[in-house]
Amino acid sequence: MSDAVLKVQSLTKKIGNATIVDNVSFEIKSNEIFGLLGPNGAGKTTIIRMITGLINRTGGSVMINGSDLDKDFEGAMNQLGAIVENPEFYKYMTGRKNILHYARMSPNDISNERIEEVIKLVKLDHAIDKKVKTYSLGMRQRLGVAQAILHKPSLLIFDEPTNGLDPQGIREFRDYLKVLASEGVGILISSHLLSEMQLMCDSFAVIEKGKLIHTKEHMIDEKTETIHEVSFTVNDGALANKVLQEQFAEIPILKSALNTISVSATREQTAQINKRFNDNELDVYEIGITRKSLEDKFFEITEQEMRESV
Amino acid sequence: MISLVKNEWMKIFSKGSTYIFIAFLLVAAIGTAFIDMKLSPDESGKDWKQEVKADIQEQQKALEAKDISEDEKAAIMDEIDLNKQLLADDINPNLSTNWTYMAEWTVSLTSFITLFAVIVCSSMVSSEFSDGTIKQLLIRPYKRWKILLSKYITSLLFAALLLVSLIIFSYLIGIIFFGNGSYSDKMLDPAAFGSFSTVVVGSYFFDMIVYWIPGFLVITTIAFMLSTLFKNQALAVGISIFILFASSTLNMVIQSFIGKYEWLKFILFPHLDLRGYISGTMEMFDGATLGFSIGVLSIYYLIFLALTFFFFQKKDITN
Repeated sequence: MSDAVLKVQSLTKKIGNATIVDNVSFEIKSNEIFGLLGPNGAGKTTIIRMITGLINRTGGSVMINGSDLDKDFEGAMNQLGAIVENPEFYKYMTGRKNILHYARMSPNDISNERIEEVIKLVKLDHAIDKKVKTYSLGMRQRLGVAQAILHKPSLLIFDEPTNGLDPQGIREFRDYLKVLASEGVGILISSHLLSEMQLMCDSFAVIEKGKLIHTKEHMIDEKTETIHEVSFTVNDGALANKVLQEQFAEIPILKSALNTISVSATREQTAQINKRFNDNELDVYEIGITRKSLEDKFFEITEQEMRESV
Repeated sequence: MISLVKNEWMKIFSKGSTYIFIAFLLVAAIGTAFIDMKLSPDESGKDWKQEVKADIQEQQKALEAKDISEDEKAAIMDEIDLNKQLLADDINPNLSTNWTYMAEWTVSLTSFITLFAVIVCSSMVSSEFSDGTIKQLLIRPYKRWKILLSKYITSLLFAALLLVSLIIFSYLIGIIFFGNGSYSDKMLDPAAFGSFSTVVVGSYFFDMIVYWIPGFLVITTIAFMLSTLFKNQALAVGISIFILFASSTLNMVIQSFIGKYEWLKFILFPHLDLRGYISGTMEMFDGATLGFSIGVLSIYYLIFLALTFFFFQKKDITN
C-alpha cells in the first residue's frame, strides 16, 4: 500500500459529548478520484478539515504520501493542494498576485514558467492581471484549481467543488480532474450532489452521521451488478418473450409489448440474451439500458443502514 | 519566513487605505507646519537679543508701577530672571527651524501613527477570517506559529515604516517652511514649568520618539492580539483605541487610589506613555522609575504575545 497518497485511519472528532466524526478510515491511491458522499451535515467537511490540519483531531492519523500529519506537518502539507469550500482569494489583489502569494508559500522553487503554465491550463491568461473581485465564481474556481496544483502535489482535495458552478463550469472542472488524475495525482472530492459524483469519481465512501457506512472501489460493478432495466426492441415481441421464458427463467421480465421487452439483467446476461435472440432469428433493432444510478444506490445503502440501526 | 513576510507586505500594499494613511501623514506634516508658521511671528532679520533686552526693560518699568500686588511683582521678577538667563546662555526663545517644528508638532502627530498602525494590525489576522482566506493560508507547508509570526513581524515593519515616513516628511517639510536648523540648537524644555532648564532640540525630539515607542509597541500588540482572538477587526480597533484614549483618564483614577492599593502600580495604563520620564516629571507614584515601567510593559507584552500564539495554534478553523 505504498502507493496510497492519502491514508486516513480511525479519524475521530468529538466536540463535547457529540461525536461529529466516528472512527473513519479510508485510502486514496494515485490516479484515483475518490468521492466522499453524504448528506449535508454528515461530517464530510469536518473530515476534510482534519485531513488538511485546519481542525484538531480527537483521534486517528492522517498520512499524506507517506508523511504523517502529526510528525511531519510541513512535509505532509507540501504534498497537498486543496480548495476548502468556496475558493476564497484576496479580492483586492490581482489573480497573478494571488498565485504569486501561494507560490511563495511553497518550499519548492516555483518558476515563472510554471506559473504561466498553470494560468494557461486553467484558461485565465486573459484575466490574470485583473483584481479577483471582478472574477465570476467560475473564474475563482479555476484560480482555485491553479493555486492547488501549482506546486505539483500528490494529493488534491476539493470540498464541495461544484457549489454554485454553472453546468459548463462543472464540466470544465470535471475535465481538469480527469487530466490531473491521469497525471498520477490522487483526488479527494466531497459532495452531496450524487449524480455529479457519479460522473467524476472512480470510487466512493458514503458518510452518514459521522460514520463511514459504505466504501467500494466501484460502487457499480459493471460486470456483475444488475443493470436496472434492459429493453430490447425486436420484430416479434411474443417470440422474444417465449425465448426468454424458456431459456432465461431466472431473469425477471419487467415489461412485454408488441415490439419491446424489458428485463432486469447484468451486462453478461444482456449479451447472452442478445445471442439467443439471434439464434432464434429474432431481429434486434435496439438495446436500451437504464443504469441503476449512484443516487439509487446511495439511497439503497442509507436506507438499509437506517433499517439496521432501528 | 522572508517569503511569508513578503506576502504580508504585498497584501498591505495592495490595499488602497495603506496609501491613504501615508498620504495623510504627509498632509498632516504640511498642515501643522503651516499652522506653526502662521502662529509664530516672523522673527527673521531681527536681532533676538535686542528683543529680549527690550522685554527686560519693559518688565522693569512695570515693576516700578505703584498699583501692582506682591504676587504680580513676583511673577514679573521671574520673567526678568528667565530673560536674563536666556541672554546669559545664548538661547533664542523664538528659534524656529525644522528641528523646533519637529520637537513641537511631529511629536504630537505620533498619535496618528498609533491609529493607523492599530487599524492595520487589527486587520492582519481578522481579515483572513472574514475573507475566508485563512483556510487557504493554513493548508500550506508552514506551521501555524510561523504564519502568525510573519504577520506580527510585518505589522511591526509597517508601523516602523509609518514612523520613519513621518520623521522624513517632517524633516523635509520643516526645511521648506522654517529652514534647515542645527540639531544641537538649544531650546527651553517644554516640559519644565517655572524652572529654567534647556534641552538640545534634536536629541529632545528623538527622546520623545524613543520613549513613545514602548507604549506604541504594546498598543499595536494588543490590536494584533485582539485581531487574532476575536477575528473581528472593528472590535480589535475599537478596544485598542479605547485603551489608548482611556488610559489618561484611568491614570487619574489610578493615581488617586494608588496610595491605598499598592497593586495598582502593576496596572498597564500608567506605564503606556513613558515620555514623562524624559524630564523626570513622571510622578505617578513613589518609586516609579523608567526601569520599573519598562519591566511592567515587558511582562504585559510577553503575556499578550503568548496568549496570541497559544490561541492561534490551538484554534479550530471552522468558518
